[in-house]
Amino acid sequence: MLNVIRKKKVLAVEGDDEINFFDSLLKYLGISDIEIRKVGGKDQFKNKLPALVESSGFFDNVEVFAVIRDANADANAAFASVKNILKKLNLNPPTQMNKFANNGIKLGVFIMPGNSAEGMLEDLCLNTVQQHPKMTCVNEFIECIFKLEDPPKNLAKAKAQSFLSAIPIIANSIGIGAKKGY
Amino acid sequence: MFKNIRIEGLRAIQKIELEDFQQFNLLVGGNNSSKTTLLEGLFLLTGPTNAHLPLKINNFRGFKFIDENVWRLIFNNLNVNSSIKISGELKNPDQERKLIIKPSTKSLTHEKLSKTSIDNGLIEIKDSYSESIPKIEGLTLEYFLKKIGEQDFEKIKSNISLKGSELEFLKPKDYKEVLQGVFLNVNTMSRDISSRFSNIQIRKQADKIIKILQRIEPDLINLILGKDGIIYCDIGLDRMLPINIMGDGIIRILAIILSISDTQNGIIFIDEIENGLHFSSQEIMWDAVFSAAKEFNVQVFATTHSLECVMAYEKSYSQIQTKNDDIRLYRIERKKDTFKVITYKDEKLKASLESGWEVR
Repeated sequence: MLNVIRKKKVLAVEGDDEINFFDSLLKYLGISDIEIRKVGGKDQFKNKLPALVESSGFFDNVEVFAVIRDANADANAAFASVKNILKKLNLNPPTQMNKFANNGIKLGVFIMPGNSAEGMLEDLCLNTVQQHPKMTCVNEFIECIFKLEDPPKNLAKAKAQSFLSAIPIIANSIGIGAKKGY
Repeated sequence: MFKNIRIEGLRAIQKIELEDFQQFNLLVGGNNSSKTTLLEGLFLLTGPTNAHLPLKINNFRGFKFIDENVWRLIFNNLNVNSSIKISGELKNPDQERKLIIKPSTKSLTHEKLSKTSIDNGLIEIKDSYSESIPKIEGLTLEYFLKKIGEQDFEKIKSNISLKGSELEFLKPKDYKEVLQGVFLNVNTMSRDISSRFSNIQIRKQADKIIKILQRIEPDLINLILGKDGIIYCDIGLDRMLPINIMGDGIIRILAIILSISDTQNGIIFIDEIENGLHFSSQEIMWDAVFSAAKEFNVQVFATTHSLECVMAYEKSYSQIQTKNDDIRLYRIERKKDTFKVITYKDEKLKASLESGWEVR
């Protein structure tokens, strides 16, 4: 048996880590009426976002639909790409990122980490722990690592994982970290 | 090959349009979503001058008698004041076809008589109007055909009517249909299996069928048609075995590929294609359908309710080496009288199934 959309609010995210993260966040906020669906990384949006929107039950049930994607190098390009896919599905995407538009289905495209900045969900999480005492150690470690040959390719992920390695019970991703309450 | 279709007024369908047909087209949707009616509409447009076909599609649904009510069954809401309009474009031959089916009626005029009493005296009142009760005696098929790029449609008319206990046909002269179509369902699937195999033998194409069946039954060496009309298969034993004892699955698959092979360059319509097949045989069935349809250049339209069938459709297609973006899945969604069609190309179908999202 395949999954049919049953809830009125649907959140489309990139991967398992985002599912874990937003699932924990929604539980923390006491919100239970949102269905989270994974549409894969940015390269899979082209096929999986239409597949989700056109799956059985979507148009019958969904009233609010939000798509969350990482900005990576360019938030505007990421927004335009998602908007383009939604337009082809005859949905009316919002003209501005990170805001809902109400054209039939209430539809929003949220580009992480927000404020049109480049980056990803990890950047948003790191912003929330900038003043955490453990970040002093994390920053020193990262600074040291980046002086070496072959430094990590993704600074935000490296920093986030360094932070998560410093918590009492190690979590290997922000999603798992969120699930564990950090 | 059909490229698209628009149907108005056929059975439960008020209006529906499907586009972007490819060689392989699988229709899914809930019960009562008119999938079978869609197949019937396509079938009617395949033989638009054959006035037998409206009766045949009723016959496929189990109506084996003809009376005035049977004519009504193909009209939307049984309303014979409306007409059925089916139109579509084809590729090879490049044509545009329009078919309008109307009831042929004979009006009976009745004078309404009633009695009433005024001042204790009885008088007869004759109504100031007469009521016409249309009596349907048959159907008129108006067919409009033009080659793509041409301006004018050629109009061809045919008719079927019940005169007493005899069916009378008015066939168009000087028109020869170039398209061949076959409609299969659970009742008709195995009906013509022997005659179809005989046709294949006459055309010296039995070896192609055997090659396709060898993918399902590697021990199969040969097939022959016995004098008793039964197909026998040689699987290397001392005697040949009647196909009937090989199990329902292989008979069904044989029936489907024989129908495809016997409809060379034509179109086949298969209602509930998964019917009678174990889920584990469905990928084999699709392998056989893809092979046979490619070999004999046949366009396939099928319906299913089964998830295993949809998964087998996609999986079997994904294993074909020379893919050409030629499968589609259509989900028909019906809300009262409104139809919505969701089209899946292979990539989207694959993405949906991988993600576990319902496509039916």
